[in-house]
Amino acid sequence: MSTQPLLTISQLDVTYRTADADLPVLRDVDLSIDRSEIVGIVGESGCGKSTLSSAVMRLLPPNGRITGGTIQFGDRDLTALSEGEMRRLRGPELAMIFQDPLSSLNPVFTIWTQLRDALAAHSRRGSFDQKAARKRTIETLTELGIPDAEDRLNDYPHQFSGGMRQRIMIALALLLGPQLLIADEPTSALDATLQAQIVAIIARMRREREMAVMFVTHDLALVSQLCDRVVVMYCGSVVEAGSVQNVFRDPRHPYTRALIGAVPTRHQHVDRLITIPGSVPSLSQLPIGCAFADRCTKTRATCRLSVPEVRIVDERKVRCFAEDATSSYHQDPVEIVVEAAQ
Amino acid sequence: MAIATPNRTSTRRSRLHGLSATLQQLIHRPAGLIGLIIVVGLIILAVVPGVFAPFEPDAQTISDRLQGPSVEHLLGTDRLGRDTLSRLIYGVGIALIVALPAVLSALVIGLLLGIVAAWRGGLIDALLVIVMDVLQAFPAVILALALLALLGPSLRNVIIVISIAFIPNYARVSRALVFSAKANQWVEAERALGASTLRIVFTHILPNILPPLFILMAMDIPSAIVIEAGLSFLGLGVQPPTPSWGAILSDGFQNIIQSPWAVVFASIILMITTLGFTMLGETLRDIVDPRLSGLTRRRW
Amino acid sequence: MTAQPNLIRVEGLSTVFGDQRSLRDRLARRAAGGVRAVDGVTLTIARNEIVGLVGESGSGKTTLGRTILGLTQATSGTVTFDGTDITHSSRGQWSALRGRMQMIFQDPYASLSPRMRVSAQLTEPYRIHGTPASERYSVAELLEMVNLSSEQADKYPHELSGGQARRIGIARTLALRPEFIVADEPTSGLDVSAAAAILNLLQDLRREFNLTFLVITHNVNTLSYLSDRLAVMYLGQLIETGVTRDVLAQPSHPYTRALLAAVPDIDPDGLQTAQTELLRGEIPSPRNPPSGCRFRTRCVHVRADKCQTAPVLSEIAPGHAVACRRWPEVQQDPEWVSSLPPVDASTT
Repeated sequence: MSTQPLLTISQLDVTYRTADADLPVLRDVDLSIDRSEIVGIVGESGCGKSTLSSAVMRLLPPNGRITGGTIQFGDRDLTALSEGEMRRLRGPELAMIFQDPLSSLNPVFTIWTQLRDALAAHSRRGSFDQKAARKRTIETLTELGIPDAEDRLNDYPHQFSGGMRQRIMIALALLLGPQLLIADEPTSALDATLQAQIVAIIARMRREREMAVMFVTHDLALVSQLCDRVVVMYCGSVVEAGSVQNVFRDPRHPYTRALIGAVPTRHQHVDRLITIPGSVPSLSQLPIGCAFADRCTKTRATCRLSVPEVRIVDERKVRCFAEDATSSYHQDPVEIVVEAAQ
Repeated sequence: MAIATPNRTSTRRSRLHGLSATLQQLIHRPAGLIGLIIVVGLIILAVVPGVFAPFEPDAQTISDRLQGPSVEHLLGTDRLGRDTLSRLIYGVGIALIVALPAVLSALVIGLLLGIVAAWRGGLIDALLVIVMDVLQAFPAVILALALLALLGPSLRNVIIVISIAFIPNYARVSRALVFSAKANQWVEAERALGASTLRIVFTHILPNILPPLFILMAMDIPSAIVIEAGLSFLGLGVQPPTPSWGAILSDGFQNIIQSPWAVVFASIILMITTLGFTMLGETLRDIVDPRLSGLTRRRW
Repeated sequence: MTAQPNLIRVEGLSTVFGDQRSLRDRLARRAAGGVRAVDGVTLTIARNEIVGLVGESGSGKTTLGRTILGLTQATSGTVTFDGTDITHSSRGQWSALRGRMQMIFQDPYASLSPRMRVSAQLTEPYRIHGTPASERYSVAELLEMVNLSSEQADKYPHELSGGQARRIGIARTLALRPEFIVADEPTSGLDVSAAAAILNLLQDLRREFNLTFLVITHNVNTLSYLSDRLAVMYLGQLIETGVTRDVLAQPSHPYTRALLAAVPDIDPDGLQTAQTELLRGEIPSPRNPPSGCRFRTRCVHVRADKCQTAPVLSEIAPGHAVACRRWPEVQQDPEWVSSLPPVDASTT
């Protein structure tokens, strides 16, 4: 088994063309995912995380294009492939599940029709064994917790609840046995207990099938629970990336610190949540230098002159000039109003 | 859980605030511009016909009857020697003086009925829908004819009759608009603040639903004009010698073989009027709220 | 009348939707159907207290909040506000009450009238009630209360960010100087940092204006930060109530445990992934809830003899009540891993 990462994104730039200007939606994004690894991509709205997942699948909207960098998947550069070659990869190699399962499933066809068609599309000509495919489908659906799977194959999407539909989507994604699953906010619209069930399924799939997962979400708590590594994005760039333990116990980038401090938690009582003054700059008016400079407590002159490079500090990547970025979270009493943890 | 965007823009077209913005948009579209010019022209003709008409509408010169276009009578004369052009110009006023009050009163009455039905719901609503359905089952002209037969032909009765024929559509459209407005959460928020039903309806819902209703009105005016012309053509509308276009058409038909000009020109001006109002109304509708295109339809 | 310690008292409150029986149903003598969105809820809220109401979709939590405020008609039971029974108040009585009890709605944009500027939205309550000028807050004052600059006064709702729109909604409720506010999902649709700002704001407002809050949410972590007491709802019923810290440290209803296990908490050490599944199957339809204990179809502790009859919300410790007969076993369940440190080691 190769020790090379399954997916390596290097210096990726993505631009959206609008009537007024070209918007740099992703800038210099570096990211890698190993086999059997779950990597969480977090950020607030507008940070570019969904664009990142669309870029990997080469499913950007018509006015979006990859303007720089590479996406290495196995031994292929996805940015260099034609649409036809990409189509062959989507499904069997790279699969994606979305936030709203109802709009991802065609309401006028039964789920069996849709699942079967997907399987048939990716099999070699003339070699599609419908009976075997049906058997596998029923097995997968049952494994994912859909009762009476065989009977329900003839039902339509609207006859399933939201949680069931999301499981069908996952089944659809899994049946083709992809190496990488990209999940874009798959549980944001679901209740907590449903979310827990779906998340458990993804974790199990990772274990049993050695599947890599790129999990895009705004929910930091979910990432800390499910993912091995986390990538924090702000304004189209990666500001911090590392293992979940490192980043959550000891966040180095001021934005990451503020973000973690803004999430209420049960296991630690705080008197006050951290808030970030100001607002996210619009992509058409990005400042020179660090995009977070106007809202950061550690801004210095250099921060406004140029965009910081990514440094490797304590086994994680940080994109920040501040000296404090190299110091530990717990040694900074002024910034955080948190009871000292044990 | 939906994710908010930092600067959310309205998902509808941006609301236009002020007439000037609407007007500007109107002028930029060819259909709107043409419609506006025609309608404004017609209104001017209606208000000061004397400025434009070379003759009095009932000035007869029997010796010049049934003539074609000439230098003196640009559009010819009718069977009594009256100048067609002048009669058509004075006819604008007649057309509008019937159409405008008829449609406006239909709007007001329909609006009130629609509001009451939608707000109360239940039995009152069901009853209203049934009554309006019955009324709408009759083609407008037939209904107007039947009512006129009851009331007797006169200008005033024509207005009443056309108004009655148009009320159901306004009632239904208002009802639909109020229902959808009622479902908005801000209506509930107003209730939570203590606002009375009356206040919510008249201060908040009404301003929201009036624009589409006015546009409907703009598109109903040509219908009303044509219905009036039809009634006058049949002799059931305004009585001679009032120069209603319908009357002009009717007169013209009697001598169509000798002098088709009256019929031709009366038809042309009817067509231009209808076209003008329709273009104006449809363009306005597209500017203000394209979703209305399902609600506005021709009725005859 | 002397001020009651309990501002709100809800007793046996039920709200049933869609209870109209058709003629055929009546002829067939079918029992009244309908969704029992709120079913026999009893709850008190003390002055200056923040009570958190948590539940998933279909739990009836939003309906409960709206019924208390009279926005939805209660079918049976009573709501008492400051000692007065307001369940069947007339329109005129509600008008007076509106000044004292308000609601912050879930969707920050939908609850603002789209054609009114911010300044008009904020003065609307005064216009409705004809408040004399001496009792009004100025627009600038109201904006300042929610930490917005007066620049926002001329904007229309669609020109505001989610956080700003939410604050305008809050400012509007403050205009009438209410005593009690129901906040329905106050952070829905907001980014992490904007949500934190709103939660901080609610805390500040409670202190500054002596307010009492009922906060409705599906995210129990929000409540662990904000609320003094916690109430958990499932299928229209209250299944556990108590001081927030107590309920979180020692959840005694199987559903509460399952819910807490399901809601992720920032957890660098990955303790939560060790949880086994504490919940089976899907939520039943609110139209047709299970007989007896409504949770029994999904409960891992279910026992036929004890769970066929509906349990009653009863106190198991001072201030901590549970609607489950198996609560001792639930509390001793070794499967449950509490992510909280033991209560006496808390440094709060």
